[in-house]
Amino acid sequence: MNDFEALSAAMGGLDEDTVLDFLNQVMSEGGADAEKAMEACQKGMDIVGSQFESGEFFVSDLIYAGDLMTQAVNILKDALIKGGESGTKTKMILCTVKGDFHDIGKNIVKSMLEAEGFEVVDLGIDVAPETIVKEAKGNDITIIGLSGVLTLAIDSMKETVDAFVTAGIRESVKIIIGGAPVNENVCEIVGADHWAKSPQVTVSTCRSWASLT
Amino acid sequence: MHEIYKEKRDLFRDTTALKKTKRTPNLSNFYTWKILDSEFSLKEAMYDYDKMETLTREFHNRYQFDAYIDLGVRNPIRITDLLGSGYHEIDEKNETINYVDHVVMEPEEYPEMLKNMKKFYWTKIFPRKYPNVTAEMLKNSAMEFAQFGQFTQRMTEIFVQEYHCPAVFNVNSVALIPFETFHNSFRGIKGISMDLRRHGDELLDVSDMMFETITYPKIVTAFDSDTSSYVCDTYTALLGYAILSPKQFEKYYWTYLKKIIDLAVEKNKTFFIFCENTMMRFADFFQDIPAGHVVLHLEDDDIFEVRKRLPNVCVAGGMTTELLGRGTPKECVDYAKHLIDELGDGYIFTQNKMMSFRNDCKRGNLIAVNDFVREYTR
Amino acid sequence: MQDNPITINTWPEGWEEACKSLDFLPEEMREGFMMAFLEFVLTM
Repeated sequence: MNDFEALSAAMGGLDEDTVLDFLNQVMSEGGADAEKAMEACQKGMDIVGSQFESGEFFVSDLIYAGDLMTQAVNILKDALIKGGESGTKTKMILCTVKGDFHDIGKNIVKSMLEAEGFEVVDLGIDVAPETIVKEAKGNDITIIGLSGVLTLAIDSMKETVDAFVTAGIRESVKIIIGGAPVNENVCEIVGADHWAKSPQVTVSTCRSWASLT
Repeated sequence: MHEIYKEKRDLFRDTTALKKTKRTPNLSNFYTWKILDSEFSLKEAMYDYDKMETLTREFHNRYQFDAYIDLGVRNPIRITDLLGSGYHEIDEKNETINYVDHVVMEPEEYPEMLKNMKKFYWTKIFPRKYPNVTAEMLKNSAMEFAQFGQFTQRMTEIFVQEYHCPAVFNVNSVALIPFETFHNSFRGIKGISMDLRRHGDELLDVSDMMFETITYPKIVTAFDSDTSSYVCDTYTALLGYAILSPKQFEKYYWTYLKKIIDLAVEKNKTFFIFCENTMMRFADFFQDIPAGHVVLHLEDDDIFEVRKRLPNVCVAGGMTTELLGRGTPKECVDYAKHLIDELGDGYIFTQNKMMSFRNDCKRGNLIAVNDFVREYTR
Repeated sequence: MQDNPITINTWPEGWEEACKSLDFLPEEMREGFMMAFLEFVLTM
């Protein structure tokens, strides 16, 4: 019998060998426990998040966790039930804004949002405001995450929010900004709905927004 | 030594030693912004040392800092262009110089690097980073490197002789902590994050070797020479440390930093440390350093909190791009006064960020702030 | 001196040839200069 608590603990402790052995075992047994294994991995990512909040883990650990989660999904994916049957996933947009090429923070947040059950439309880096608006409008996406590390990202984030205003859909979306230059002041300048320096805050904010839709 | 030069040098040195001074020293942390503030385009300045000299002189004439961390010598892309493949992209439209991150070392190669670093660099790293190099290109690039050295020397001499501004550090006394090489240049941020867990022991072995054979001897030599004319005796920038937890920092970083700090204390020298991102989670490591030897130049940390937590170190930074770029002259001056009044002795006034983008600063704000800091006595 | 980009990176022949090519420097300075140059361009 598979011990899913142990899997969560291994994922939470970033014990790569134990996690991968466990998941490969699940698949070698036919994959019937794939959904349970995935949930256990997601619980493990919650542990990682808590370790980050407590200061035990930091950015390199989150990057490692993201990679481990991606490996987990790749092992289990053929046996996982696709969308629909276990509930429709909330779609959201995530990107690094125009002029900024950093993506590590964005990718960490993406892993954690996906582990949380979001379907993340990752538009990549250096993304123009019009592109984000078009994607949101065209696919009825109402949660937008904007990432940036450079100080010029503040201007790009503001331009993006302004683009939603111009498009007439600002009131129907929720925008969260994250990254090194971001704070309450910047959030006000940009006109975003929320700001976050930690991935956990981004995830919990998006989770609360998703529950309203 | 010119009187004005000595006055400025002593101002920085006394501030580092946490002594009471007549005024607060003003240090420039301006980089690419200097070019955007000038008549030249990014490409013009980056490819023409005469133009870079002109704009750096004008920058001083306009703003009159006491010393400059950068004198137009960052990102010398003429050198790497001659190797056939640079990794810096100049975007004139967006006014940015972007560095393209890349991985040139495999995680399994730590033992090979440990065995013979020079051979490893020459046969593996160099051809991966610059795959199209011929012998002629190599020689031309090496000559350009020599010319760049002369340009650096010339700029230092101009600022010392003509403007009486002490150089911040001697280029031969810059300490590079081994972790930075892997994070910034060889493995990339994702690669090194994996290596910390998968190849930790090997990373440590190579780091030890690099520190013992290159970094530490360089600092020993620097400390045995006369660096008293500089703002500080040795300098380092903590960049890659930003991804480390305290446990990882202790294992892969602090050992080396501490050894340099200990030597600085032993030899009565000073160590200027730029801390990109935040360093507060590592405050415990710095708390027992004897007062007067270390400057922490802070970027995203709350400088007031660091001052409270670490009264034994000189702090630098504080002036934000938010105010310089988006505030009014009065708001900037008021905040500069607040910084100087609150932080007191042992504070070097400078910008928190490496000033690189147009909106990081407005000319009028910088003039107002610098005029104030130059004249203000506590 | 080799112009073939493949053979330039051989060891020790390619390295020695590269150091020798720095004829704008005194001979005793060439290897140290080449190492400093290498470290510089590899970390730029």
